[in-house]
Amino acid sequence: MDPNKKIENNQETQELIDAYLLGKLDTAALANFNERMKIYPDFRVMVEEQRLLFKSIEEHNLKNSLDEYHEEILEDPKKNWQSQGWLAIAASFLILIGVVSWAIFNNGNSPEKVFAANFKPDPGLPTTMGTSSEYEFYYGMVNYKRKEYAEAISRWEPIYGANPENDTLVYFLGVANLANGNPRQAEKYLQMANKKTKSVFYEDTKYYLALSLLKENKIQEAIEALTNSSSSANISLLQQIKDL
Amino acid sequence: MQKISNRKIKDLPFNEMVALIKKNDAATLKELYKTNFHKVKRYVYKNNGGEQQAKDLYQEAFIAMWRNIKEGKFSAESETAINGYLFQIAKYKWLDHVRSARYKNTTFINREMEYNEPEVEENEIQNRKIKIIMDSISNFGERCQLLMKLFYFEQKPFKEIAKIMAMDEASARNAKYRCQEQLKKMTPIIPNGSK
Repeated sequence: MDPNKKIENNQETQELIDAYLLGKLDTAALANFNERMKIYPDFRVMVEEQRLLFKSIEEHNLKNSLDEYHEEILEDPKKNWQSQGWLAIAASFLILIGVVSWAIFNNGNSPEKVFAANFKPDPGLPTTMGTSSEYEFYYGMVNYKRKEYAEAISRWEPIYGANPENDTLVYFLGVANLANGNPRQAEKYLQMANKKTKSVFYEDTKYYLALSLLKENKIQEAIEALTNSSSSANISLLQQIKDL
Repeated sequence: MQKISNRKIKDLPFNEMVALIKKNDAATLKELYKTNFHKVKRYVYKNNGGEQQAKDLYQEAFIAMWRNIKEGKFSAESETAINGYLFQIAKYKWLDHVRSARYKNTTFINREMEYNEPEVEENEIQNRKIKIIMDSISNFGERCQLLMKLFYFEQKPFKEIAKIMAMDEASARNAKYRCQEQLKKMTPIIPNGSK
């Protein structure tokens, strides 16, 4: 190898350095790569520059992910109780006081109260998309998790136009609409999702469908949506609606 | 599309967990993050800190831990050791914080904070450069940001990136090259400071 040779800063070189940084070179290629680094100072500089970019991109994205994880901690009071026993005891007292007060001052429940007590948007899918083929869906999910529901809906609706059969999409469009204060539109999507009996979201769909109907004051339909449901959340919600 | 099942990091063999952290596996990082936050938060609260300080400190410590694991600077034999290491870094950083100018004139004695400083080797110059590059990434186009995230952070193969970005594999490769060149132009620094 000629040490004065100019190493081209092109796509091929960039991909070779990527393979090295990601640990994808086999033994022979790695030996060759290390040899090139020894001989060509320019190449060494390129590798270091790319390593720095790699690290920066990773750290930038990790930081963003940490904010998402943090949101989930804040939204998940159940976890706090698990790690703070005393808080669980305090919460139990509060519940006890609540129950006693309810028994004394019970003025009857309303669909609004049941809705407010039970509606919490689905936490969403991890933004590592697995088998997803839609980049807009991916970004919509980022919006959804940031509670930018209108933005998420506007990204997802065009995808829905092209993929009306996608159960994940109709489910999240339903929940996003409900979170965005549009139960009628939510009902439309969730009724579609409710037909996908093999969907992993099937039980959750019934839950949010019942809440959409409740929000629209369609009590009987909400009861019907939950009848024969097997999840404990659905059974509990059904009981609360029946008690109205 | 499927919901990803909730894996528990405590069920994973230690080596597998380290390998997952190195690959930036989202489920592993998330669980590690969520498992340890409250302990750090309680510590910060006990030592005159607040919610925002606890979050900032914890995230800084988490990134330091992640970086050290990736660079092979931390080796241990159990998940408990990782949790302890994370907490130790957070404590060290908090001590650093309370020693800072803002706290210089206040009396602050807490025996609990005496401990062995973990080996958090920080290359200040490199960290500054990383910060500059991260600022450039924030100003990057949405599509380039996603491409770089999928390639370097999620470490997906081009075949999968192409699927997510709704393009063919060769176009994804070209786009990644162009985005990276663009990022370099936006960030006028060179690792050894010669530019």
